[in-house]
Amino acid sequence: MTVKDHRKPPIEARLAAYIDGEASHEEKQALDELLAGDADTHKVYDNLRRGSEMGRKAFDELLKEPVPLALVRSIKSAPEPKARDVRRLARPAVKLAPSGKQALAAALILFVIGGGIGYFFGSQPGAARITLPLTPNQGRTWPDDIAAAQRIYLRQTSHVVELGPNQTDEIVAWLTSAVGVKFSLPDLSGAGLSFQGARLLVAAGKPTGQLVYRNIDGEIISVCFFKESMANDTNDFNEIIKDDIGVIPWHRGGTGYAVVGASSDALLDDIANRVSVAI
Amino acid sequence: MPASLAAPDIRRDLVGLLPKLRRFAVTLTGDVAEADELLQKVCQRSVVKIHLWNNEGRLESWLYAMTRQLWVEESRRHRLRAGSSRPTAVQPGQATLHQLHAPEKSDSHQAVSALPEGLASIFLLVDVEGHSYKQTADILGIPQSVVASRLASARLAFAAGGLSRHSQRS
Repeated sequence: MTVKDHRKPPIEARLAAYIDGEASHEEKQALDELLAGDADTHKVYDNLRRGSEMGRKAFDELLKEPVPLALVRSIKSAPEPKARDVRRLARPAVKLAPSGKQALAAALILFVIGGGIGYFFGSQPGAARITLPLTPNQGRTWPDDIAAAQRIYLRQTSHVVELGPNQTDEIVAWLTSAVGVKFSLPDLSGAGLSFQGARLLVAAGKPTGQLVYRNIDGEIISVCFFKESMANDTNDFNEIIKDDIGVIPWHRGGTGYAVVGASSDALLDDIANRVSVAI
Repeated sequence: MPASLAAPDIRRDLVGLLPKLRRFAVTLTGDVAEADELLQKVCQRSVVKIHLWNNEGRLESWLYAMTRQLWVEESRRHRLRAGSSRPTAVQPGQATLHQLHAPEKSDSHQAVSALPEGLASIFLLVDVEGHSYKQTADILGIPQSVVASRLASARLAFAAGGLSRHSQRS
């Protein structure tokens, strides 16, 4: 009697991966031996091969079918894509490749400057130790920071929020006082999003409320807001791409809002529209 | 200062890709009319959203992912409208059959639509279009670990369908 190894996938799946070149070297060797010595395994292999061939023929036939003219017309009559503001988080790469003379000159200059500074402080033995104040990185914007937070939480499977979906009253009271913005929890179930809870972030040095949702595929989509004093109202929902993260910000009544999700998510602007009405 | 970039126009590419996109849409919907309706929305959305494509990989992969995402949305809306708790067509791990009754369906359509739900798209992407398991998992939004087993099921289903047709004829 053979003992079935429950740790391994079924033989059909293993053979499929073998056929497609997706099996590891060890797995390939093991299956080579199995195929050489076991008739049942070989039968499964043959069936997979035959099914593959038959399926391909069926799909090739589908490709020959004429495409409805209405579809072609709808593409040709579609509005031209608009020019968009695209702000990338990634800075342009600066390539440093100094020549030998340049490197030597730079080293000498640095030596002289460093020596001068050292002499200046060394000649003042009673001078107090200088401590630099810890300041936030002034170059980072609010969208930069919420995109970075989103990128981190996207990868979390648990502990995504500080307060869960059943603590809505507490969330509203807490974030209203912490962020200084009155808001309502948007119900986005109409857009296929389920509320997961909320957390408090610091973005661009400001307290920021983050309402966390999951879409039908389990991906995290956030609604962020913070109090701001100087921004004019905007409702154009221009998407800012931060590599894999898309941020759709807008400003209204002294509050900055943003919907944040995967930049591949085609429905982010729809969600932003819903949130701007509901929040 | 933000740069204002003109988004590329993909309308010509879209027309060229229509047969492949339509075939992929059929694997999701199981129905040609629904696939055409879905595809129309995909085309409109992709023209507007092309600035989101990062120019890496194949354009059709990005369009496939968008098609799948829109189909999930559409399925959910239909379900909400119908007030039904029937699961969506693209939930992983399902094995219910497509409900197709179009009388004029070709053998190819029948063979594809007879596959248990969720298998036809995987077969198309890996076996026909040569996507890797990872690319396929990314497009369909499923774990990579389930691709091989579903692909094997699709292949065996095609093989079994072919055998039964062969025995009916002889």
